[in-house]
Amino acid sequence: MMDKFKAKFVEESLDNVNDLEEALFALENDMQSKDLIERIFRAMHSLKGGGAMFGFNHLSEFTHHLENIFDKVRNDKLEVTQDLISLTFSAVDEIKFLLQKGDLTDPEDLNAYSQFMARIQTFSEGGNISENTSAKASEGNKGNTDSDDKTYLISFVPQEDLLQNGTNPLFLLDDLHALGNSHSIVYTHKVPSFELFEPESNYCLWQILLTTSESLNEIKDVFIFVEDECELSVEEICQGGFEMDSGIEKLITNARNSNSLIKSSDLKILLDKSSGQTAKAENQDQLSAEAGRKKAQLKGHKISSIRVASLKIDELVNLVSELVTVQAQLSVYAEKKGDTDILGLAENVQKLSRQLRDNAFEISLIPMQSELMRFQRLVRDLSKELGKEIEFVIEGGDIELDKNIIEHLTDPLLHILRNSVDHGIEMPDDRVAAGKSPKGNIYFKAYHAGASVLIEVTDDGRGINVEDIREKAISKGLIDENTDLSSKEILNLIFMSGFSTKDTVSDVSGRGVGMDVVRKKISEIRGEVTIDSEWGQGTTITLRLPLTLSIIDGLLVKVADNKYVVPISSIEKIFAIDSQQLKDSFNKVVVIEGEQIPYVDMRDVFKEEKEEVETPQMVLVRHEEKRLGLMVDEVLGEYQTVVKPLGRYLKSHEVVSGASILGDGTISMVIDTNRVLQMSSTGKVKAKSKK
Amino acid sequence: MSEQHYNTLLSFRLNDEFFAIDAMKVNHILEVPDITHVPNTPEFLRGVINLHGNVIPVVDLRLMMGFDNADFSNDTAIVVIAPDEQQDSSLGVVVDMVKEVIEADGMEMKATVVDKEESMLKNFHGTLSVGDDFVHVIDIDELASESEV
Repeated sequence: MMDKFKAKFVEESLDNVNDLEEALFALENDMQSKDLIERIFRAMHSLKGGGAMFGFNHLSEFTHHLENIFDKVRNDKLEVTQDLISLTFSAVDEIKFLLQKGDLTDPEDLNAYSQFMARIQTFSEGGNISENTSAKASEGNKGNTDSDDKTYLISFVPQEDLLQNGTNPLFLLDDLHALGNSHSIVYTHKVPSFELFEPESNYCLWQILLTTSESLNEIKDVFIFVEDECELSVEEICQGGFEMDSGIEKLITNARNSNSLIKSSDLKILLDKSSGQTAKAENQDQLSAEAGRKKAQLKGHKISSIRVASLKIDELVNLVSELVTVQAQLSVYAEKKGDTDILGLAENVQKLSRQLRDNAFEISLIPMQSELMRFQRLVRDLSKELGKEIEFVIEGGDIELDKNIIEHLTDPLLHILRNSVDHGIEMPDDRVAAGKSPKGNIYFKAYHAGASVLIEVTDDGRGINVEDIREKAISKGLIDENTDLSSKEILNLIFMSGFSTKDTVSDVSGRGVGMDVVRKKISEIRGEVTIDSEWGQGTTITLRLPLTLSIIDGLLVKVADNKYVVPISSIEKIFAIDSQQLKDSFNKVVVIEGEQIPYVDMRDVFKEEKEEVETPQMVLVRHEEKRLGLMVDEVLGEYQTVVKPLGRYLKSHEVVSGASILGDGTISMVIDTNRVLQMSSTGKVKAKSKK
Repeated sequence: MSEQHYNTLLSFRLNDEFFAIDAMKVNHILEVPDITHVPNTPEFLRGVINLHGNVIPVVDLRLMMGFDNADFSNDTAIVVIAPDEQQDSSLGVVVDMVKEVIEADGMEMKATVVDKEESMLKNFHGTLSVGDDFVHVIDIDELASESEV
């Protein structure tokens, strides 16, 4: 049970961390922004509170200290510096680590942790010095001249089970102390005799006298996580500060002896020197009204989004796709029956299930935003490490993709960005020498194009030298010395396995994986990669991705006795071919509209018996630059289809990448046209020899 | 012979011999439905079937065992097994006839002497004698890994 909550907490905290990181980035550009500092502080505060509640004690402790720093920043006692931001960035990493690990046990981790803590503490003490001086300064002119300061009496009466959700009341008191000059009074009269004492219960209550310039809401915010577990009252006593004089001391002793709390009215009489009590009462009214409004605000908060386990969504999409299949069967049946009533019903079901499908499909889309933060971090950290100056601009972060695609996309994109930072962008001096601005640019742009999403990563770095690639490919034996290739074709060589242009393996890129892995990963999600580069000007890498993996538009074709689905996204045109024309062609090329197009007979690909087909049809497919005609017996029509996996036994099948269930319940294979293209270009397709 | 211990086995006939698999790994027993041929696969892989909206590959155990006669009769059945918990591990197995469920508790398991050169399965868990018949217990993991193409 607890584990479930913990997992939830980690998930939510990661959101907080993301928010924190985002705010930090913004802060780096606008160091004066109060709003951002407030946002950072708030994120840390939630992390701290939640951490304690769910047993992430190290996390809680860590963020507590971090929060202290930002509290000082918030109160203008510490300035935002580059150092501070860098420290916080690495602290964010430590927070992520702590979230992932929970409380640390490994001595090495613990060591690193305590070192980090020490760093943070020194940093926050660095701020302390100035705080002390300012505190002294304000002490100097004490005597109620500081008009912003007010004194409050806070009565904090927690319930006995306060400790059970992990709250440490002493942290709360710490937080209060941080707000200003304070004196806390602890009441222990509720502590039972030893036999009745439950170590997990809390028996103490507190009253705190606090002088602060913060608003009442700020004070209440300290208790935000324990609101439900305590009785809390915050009462304004007077303007200005208080002195611990004998009168107050006496009041405290009396209250302690009589086991009752100090009454605010008694205190008021003691401290209220000038203004009358009526004003106070008014003030009180106003404050309670304010509190009421706040409560209403909390209650009126509508939930506009919910968090659902991704497994549930997978299941939903699965069920919907099954429904779509059954609906197709129904339509076939209704048409066969010819009963108008059933036909009408079938049509309605079709309409509804189509809407449902689109809806379910939309739910499984998530914006890329969540991953982009990682990319920003990568570019920032890497460029700092390499001493390069890089401006990273993201456009289209709100573009949504299937979550399965995004999962597959992260690694390739990280690799591409690493390449851009490491190989693409030059050192500032080199850039100036080349007549560019010292600051390099990387543009990340995502946008819709038809049924695909395009992602472009462009840098204005040194670009790729076509001659270098060519030589390299020759020396690696990937191409022959005499091969005549266009520069585009040469650029495409970097996608071949065993190709890496940087000679030495750096820590950054070239960890044995290259662009070939990028291409492989992208084609696994039915995407394409293209590269475009101009020497000295920069490089653009473009990814073309499908919107979703599970539902495709397909063309149903017949080869021998089987039906197959060809994804429409890869089809360029369909032609009817005169079989005479095929007989005459000696090198498997047909001439269409004056162009020579190579083709394969799908009967050969599937090793079926040859049979004369009067007018075979050719489906022209395209993958990147390559085109190929697929000769099929018959084109049956267009079909929107749900692609089912073939299971682990057929996973490594060469041509077929999935299956789809047709309206009549039969199965058709989905042809992976990219692999057919590959096979045909490597000469793997051979006509079946006659038996 | 292995240490593995089965309580319940499902026995079936292939040609004239009897075999059995762990009944706990059996999900369905079906009459032979329409099987869609998958091109470019070994002969023993009959194709795929549509089972409640899922696409499940079907192997012919008779061909895997090296028996020649692989025609379908009225008794021919498909035993759908799931070697592990994963959804994608479901596999249909064509057998000549499903016979019975054997409670194997307390039965003596002898080493299997079947030694067929052509068989893709070599690693039997052992042989039980049930009535007048010998029943060879198939290693379901071997069956699964041999079915991968």
